[in-house]
Amino acid sequence: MKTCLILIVISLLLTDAKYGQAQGVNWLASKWSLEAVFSPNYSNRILTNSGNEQWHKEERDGAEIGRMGYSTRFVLNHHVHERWQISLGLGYASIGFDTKPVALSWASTVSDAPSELRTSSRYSYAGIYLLGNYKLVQLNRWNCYLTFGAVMHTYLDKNTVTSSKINGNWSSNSNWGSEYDRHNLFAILGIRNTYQLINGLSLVANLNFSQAVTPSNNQSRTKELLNYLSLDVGLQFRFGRKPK
Amino acid sequence: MLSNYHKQKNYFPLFILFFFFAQACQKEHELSEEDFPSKLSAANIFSGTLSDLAPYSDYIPYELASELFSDYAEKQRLIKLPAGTQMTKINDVLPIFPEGTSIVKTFYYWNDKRDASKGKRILESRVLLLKNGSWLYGTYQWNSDQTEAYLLTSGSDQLVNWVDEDGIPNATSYRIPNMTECTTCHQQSMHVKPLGPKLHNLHLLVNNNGSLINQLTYFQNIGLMNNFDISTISAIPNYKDSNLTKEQKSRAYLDANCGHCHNPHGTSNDLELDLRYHTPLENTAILGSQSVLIERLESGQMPLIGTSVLDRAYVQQITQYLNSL
Repeated sequence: MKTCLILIVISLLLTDAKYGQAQGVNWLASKWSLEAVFSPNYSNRILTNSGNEQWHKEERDGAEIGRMGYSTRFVLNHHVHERWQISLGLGYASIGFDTKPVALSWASTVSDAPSELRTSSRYSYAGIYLLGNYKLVQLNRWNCYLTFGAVMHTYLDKNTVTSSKINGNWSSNSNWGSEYDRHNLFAILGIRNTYQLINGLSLVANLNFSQAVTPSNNQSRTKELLNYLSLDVGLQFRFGRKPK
Repeated sequence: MLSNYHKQKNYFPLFILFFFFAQACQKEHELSEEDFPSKLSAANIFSGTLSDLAPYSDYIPYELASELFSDYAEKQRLIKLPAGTQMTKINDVLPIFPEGTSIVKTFYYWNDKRDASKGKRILESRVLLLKNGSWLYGTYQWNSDQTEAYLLTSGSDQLVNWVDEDGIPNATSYRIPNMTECTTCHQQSMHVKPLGPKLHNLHLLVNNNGSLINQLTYFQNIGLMNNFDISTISAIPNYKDSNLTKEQKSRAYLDANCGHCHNPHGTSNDLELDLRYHTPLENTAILGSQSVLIERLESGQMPLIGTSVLDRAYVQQITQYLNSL
């Protein structure tokens, strides 16, 4: 169903863009464009510490590593100036961190005993994006921008997946968790690239780094600030306007 | 002009300022060194070698008829009242605890449950302290050497493995809750309270120097509890008792594992579910909600926190009971 909807939207956009060309009119770009991106990401966290929990921070820093996730978003861009764009959008992000596999030792000899164990902590967020893009370079159809801005992420759920290795095979079970700081503000900095395919339709590829500036566990002495590096790939449809 | 002025106002900076103000108002959970020393060894709960879990004589071990399932962890429960004070019955649930009461619960796993000589792995000790009419709470995480436990406010996931009573190897990620997670279950009517030591859950036979005695009677004998007729307490049965009916087992399990949130005063009181044992079935809202309850239990979505593995035997039993209604 979702795939069908996406295909229909893309077809409509392409039809509209091609229609402009087929009519032979000089296509003029409006100040508005719509964009959809999907982003594989690599996420991790920074721990800050207050009070007497330095040992806990060190323990976690030694045990935890980043993990792959994904995010997706739809944004409305306003091209306020030849060099400037402002974007407002909605998105979803799945980020978190893993633990390194730990070898298990057993007090007794038992068959089918797990030999290694690891966990994966996954946070789901819905976010409101507010971004600014400043055009650095324009070369024919290619535009390169500096992106900066913020996303207000709202916590949806947390899932801890525990995986155990038994006889060489990994198996997992998942467990719901919860956090209580519902809203986390992230700052975003990145490089944005657009390549115009046809009038009104551009390919988008961004490399962004997002860093939480508010922790996901504010009441704890060891505060967790999630971050992620994402590679956005998507399409931008720029609305056309009739020449006067 | 005035209306134009209002139209031009941009409230976004104000919103950002308010957000950071709200964040700043969320204070860290503060515990004083006097009430919660940073090391468990300084809390004067255990004497001798810490990992022996041998309490000082003023800490009295106690048991519960029906226990909360915590990923198959074993639990040691202790209570200490200030000298010359006692608990006072008001009804079948929590008694009035005197100021200064301390309750300690330590979670551990036998390395091989079939053979205690193979040792145990202690994970955490939770401490509740009644001070100025409020329960303060702290959690200590044990180190891997089992020589010390350290005060922890931030929660932790600990990888554990053990051999169960049937010789089956088990491994999971055990969650030590952070301070806010503690309140998820322990907050009742906006106040943090102990969950286990309710009189109807303390009403069971315990072994005292080789002879069986009702635990409440024992408490009365040693001056820990005021005198009252213990037969007036409606006991909750042990859901592990094979002599119980399927309904008794299931309702006792739901009480111990779900009833502290799903009751008219609990965290989830908005759902109208009342899973306490003594609530008549027709008033629990179980009837008509069976499929949702089964789905939540079987998916592991409930209990919301405190478990990472399914208590398969009892979830299966409750599913059968709910399907029979």
